[in-house]
Amino acid sequence: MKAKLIATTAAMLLYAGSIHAHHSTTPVYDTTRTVTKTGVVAQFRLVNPHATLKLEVAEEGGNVVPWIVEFDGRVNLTRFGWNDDTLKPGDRITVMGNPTHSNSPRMFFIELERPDGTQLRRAMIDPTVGALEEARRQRAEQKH
Amino acid sequence: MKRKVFGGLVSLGIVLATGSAACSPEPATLAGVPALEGMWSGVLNGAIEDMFCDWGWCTDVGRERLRVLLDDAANDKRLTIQLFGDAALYQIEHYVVPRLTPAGRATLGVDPADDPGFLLCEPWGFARQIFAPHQLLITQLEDRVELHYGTWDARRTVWLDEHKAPRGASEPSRLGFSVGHYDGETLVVETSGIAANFAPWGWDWSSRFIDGKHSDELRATERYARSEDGDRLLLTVTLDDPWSMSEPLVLKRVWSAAPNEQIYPDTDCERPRDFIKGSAAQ
Repeated sequence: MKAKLIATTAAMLLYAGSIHAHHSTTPVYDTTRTVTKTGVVAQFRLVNPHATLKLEVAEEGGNVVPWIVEFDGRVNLTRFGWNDDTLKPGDRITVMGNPTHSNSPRMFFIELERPDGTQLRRAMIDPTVGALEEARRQRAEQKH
Repeated sequence: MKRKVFGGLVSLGIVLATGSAACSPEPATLAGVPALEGMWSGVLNGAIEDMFCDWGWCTDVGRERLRVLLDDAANDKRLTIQLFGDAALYQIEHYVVPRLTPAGRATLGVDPADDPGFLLCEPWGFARQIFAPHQLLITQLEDRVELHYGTWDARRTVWLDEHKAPRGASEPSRLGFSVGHYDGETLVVETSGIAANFAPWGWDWSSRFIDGKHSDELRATERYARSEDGDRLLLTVTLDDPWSMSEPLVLKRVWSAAPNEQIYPDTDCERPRDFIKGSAAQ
């Protein structure tokens, strides 16, 4: 996915599972694979326990396939500044996520690119991830 | 569980987050009781060990293990979250499991697809709810303390006068029946009547899914107090379930003051139709 990051570092984070989810997502989503789709936002619902996006994806041959993109909950997303207008109907976006085990038209969000090129990533949803590494850096400075 | 790739480490996240940890909740309006009232939420600054105790629960054993890992130069290039996973597994293996009965140990590693929170959209039981991530709103009243959680939008009432408490059905319930009192600067809550449910021994952010189960004999003593600087809410819980535990477990949780955060309704749970069993082994 081409990207103009809205914020810094290109360091990729590796970590297992979903940190602050209200349950494991692994029964539905295959965390060993990713899928990327470009389409038009039909609906974005910023709700708990999981926000959802309906994305209309034009497949080869012209068929439009409605995809569901599942996110962490409003409780997570709003802590990072997301709101009901973060994704608007009509926006053309590209989304990458973990597909379902059965390859149904559904994914769990990892990152997406909005019409203006800005990119949103799942790690950005949880400010704890950034805060942790900052605390670690400060601790290392004190150690030395 | 296989590793999963996430996006960049974004310093902007720290700025855009509530950034409220430096503020303290409004003091309680009640005189003569410790001021615990207000909104508390995730720990976004300060000691890494406190952040560790914000992600579910922690033990003194786990905190010490994390300290050792952080001080070991061999781990300098590893992500903190990976060290969290190591410390979490260590405290499960060296603190929790040795204190479980054979029956309790037999339940370890339950399939996440069997989680009623996943399969049935059923909110968590007591043992998971009290360690739930995100917000905890405390309201202190004359006769009771209300606990309102961001996760599941769950609510508990702690009755300060047991004799005036409206006893519910005699059957165990999801969150049990709680009575409490103040002990100096600490709110002490005793809970019983908790229905058998999942026990939160391991979370899926560690490298294994290792939750277990407890029986309806579970009893708990929670102790809530502010940290010395007032910016943290500290919880120490003693859990005792003769069926699953050979001796009581003492688990801890930490929150930061977060007066600007809100709790939103949790009304849109979708029961999964397309899932597999056995994903814990991923």
